[in-house]
Amino acid sequence: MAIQTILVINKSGGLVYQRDFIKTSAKLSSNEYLILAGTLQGVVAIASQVTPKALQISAKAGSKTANEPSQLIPYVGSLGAPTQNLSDMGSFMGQDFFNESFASWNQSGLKHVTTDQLSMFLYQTLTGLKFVAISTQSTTNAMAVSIAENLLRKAYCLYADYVMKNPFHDPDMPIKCELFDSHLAELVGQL
Amino acid sequence: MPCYFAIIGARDNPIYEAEFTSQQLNSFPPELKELNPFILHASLDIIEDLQWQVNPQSINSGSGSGGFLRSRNSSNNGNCYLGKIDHFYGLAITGYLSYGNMKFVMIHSSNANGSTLAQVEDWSVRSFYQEVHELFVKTLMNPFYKLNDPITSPVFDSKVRALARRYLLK
Amino acid sequence: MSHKIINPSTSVPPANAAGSTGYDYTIGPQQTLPNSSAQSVASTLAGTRSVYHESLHPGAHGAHVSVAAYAFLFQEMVSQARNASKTVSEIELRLHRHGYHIGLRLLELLKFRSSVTPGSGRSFFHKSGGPAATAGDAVGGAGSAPSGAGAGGAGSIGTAQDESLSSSITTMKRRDLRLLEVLQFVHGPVWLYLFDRASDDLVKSSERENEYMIIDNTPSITRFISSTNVQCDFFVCGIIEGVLDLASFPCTVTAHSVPEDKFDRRVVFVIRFDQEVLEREALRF
Repeated sequence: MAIQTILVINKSGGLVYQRDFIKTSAKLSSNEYLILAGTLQGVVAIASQVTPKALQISAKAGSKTANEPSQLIPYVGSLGAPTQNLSDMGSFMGQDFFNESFASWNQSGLKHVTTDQLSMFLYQTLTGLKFVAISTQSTTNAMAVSIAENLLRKAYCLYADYVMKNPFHDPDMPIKCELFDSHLAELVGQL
Repeated sequence: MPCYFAIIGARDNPIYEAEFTSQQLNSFPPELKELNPFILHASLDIIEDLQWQVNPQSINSGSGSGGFLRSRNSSNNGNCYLGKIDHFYGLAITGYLSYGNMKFVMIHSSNANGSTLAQVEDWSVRSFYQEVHELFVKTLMNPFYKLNDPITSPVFDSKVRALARRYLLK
Repeated sequence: MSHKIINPSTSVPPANAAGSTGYDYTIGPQQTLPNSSAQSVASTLAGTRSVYHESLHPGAHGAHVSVAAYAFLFQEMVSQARNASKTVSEIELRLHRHGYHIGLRLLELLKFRSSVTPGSGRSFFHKSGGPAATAGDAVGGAGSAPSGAGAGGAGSIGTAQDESLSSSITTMKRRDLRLLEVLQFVHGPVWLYLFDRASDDLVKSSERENEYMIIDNTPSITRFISSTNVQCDFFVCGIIEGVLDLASFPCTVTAHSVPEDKFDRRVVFVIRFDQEVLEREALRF
């Protein structure tokens, strides 16, 4: 699974970060990416509305009984973990950013879209921030989805370290942090 | 014996002063009391000279050949406590320097009225200075205290007086 | 500042009134009878806890701070300095000033702590709450004591032991008189206290006589900050300058980012001593 693009969309649907990892001939312009981000935001909102009522109720009941297996995303190996310099994990302790399965906060929205050409995975945080990964393969199996969720959660960890702790970054504004760039490239490169 | 104690800041300004007297021992006579700050400040030059001596204590103790022999074990000799640095008509003056070069100075008076030279018990005076030094470090830990400002805390005052009672007025 | 008239010291109020107010520089030294005043002050202040009731022992408070919490705090410090200033150098000056006051305090604190022998530190915990006592227990034990301090007796002896470290010091650490001694102190204990490791190198400049350099390959506090034209390491500069200034080694410290092949965030702290320091060094030693 090759990651083509990673996007970060803020809680109001604006594109704050976009980065291509594979050079492709058909490249979207920055304006098109903005439109894509806005559309995604809208689709997520619609998706949460078109979720069947029965599912919503069962999801609510499930959240009361703590960790329902379907909401729990398994931890996938040491995915994209830095191999040489283990000490440099930012503020996270241990060998990897996290090493247990985690609950998904994306309860009623869009998780992934698959077409013939590519598949798109979406990771939503509690604060409404969305991390989007676009892959060149069209996969539908559950393993790929959980791998993508793990990857994007690690991207979120990097965001917490190198974007939120940077005093020169304003919240909800486009991300211009060299360290975030380099660490994300490292993460994707080691996939 | 009555004592006059002061902490002198970096700008030669007193940041704390106290007189330790007790009922059974007589206090400073009023005409001498006014002179105490002057006597104390007169010794500051000596302290500033001793400040940069490698072995401040062996130099001013005045034992002629002792200086050479002592220099061997100077490494385990502290240079914070300066010992007796000066005397003035029967008053003894001792000094102590903190790591930040705050000057702790004290005038010791003999019980008799100025006829005999006051005796200084090095061990207890040194312990007193160390305890006050610790209190001073704690003062610095207060974020609202600015270096070289007067220490006005009543707790500091009462603690210093309690230490004086323990170490000096026996 | 109060506008009291400065009286001669003979006009000190009677002994029993003094002592409860602390030192007042407008009045001068207070002549009190330690026996009576100490007790009255102790009774009036029995309920209050001040900085003087805390222990200076390194284990009395948690020795470690979460990197994330510290990074967020530092982030807020920098953005506050950024909002308040107009130029880049002003931001750096503000950070420098924040660090300076930390440096002043660190010199006294770390030197004092290093005077305490490690063996006596262990007995400190044994006294307060048994061998299994944690730092929290030790503080809690001291906290319960002041209520008994006014009454005297066993309670007050207990607090004295818990609070004061100096009684367990046999010899105080020496003051640093030479340039290299004080630089070693910054390179070693200060760095160890701040960043949990000694700095990577301490070098004398080959060009200028009064210039020394402390090198940090992986600066901890700015590790999350993408390099911009603002040098956030000026905060550490301030700490170094505070330590050296208070030890009577006046100097100016600047930070320069000098990436090397393996360490792209390497920072060099250049310490430029005033001429008087070198003159004194030449005269004295």
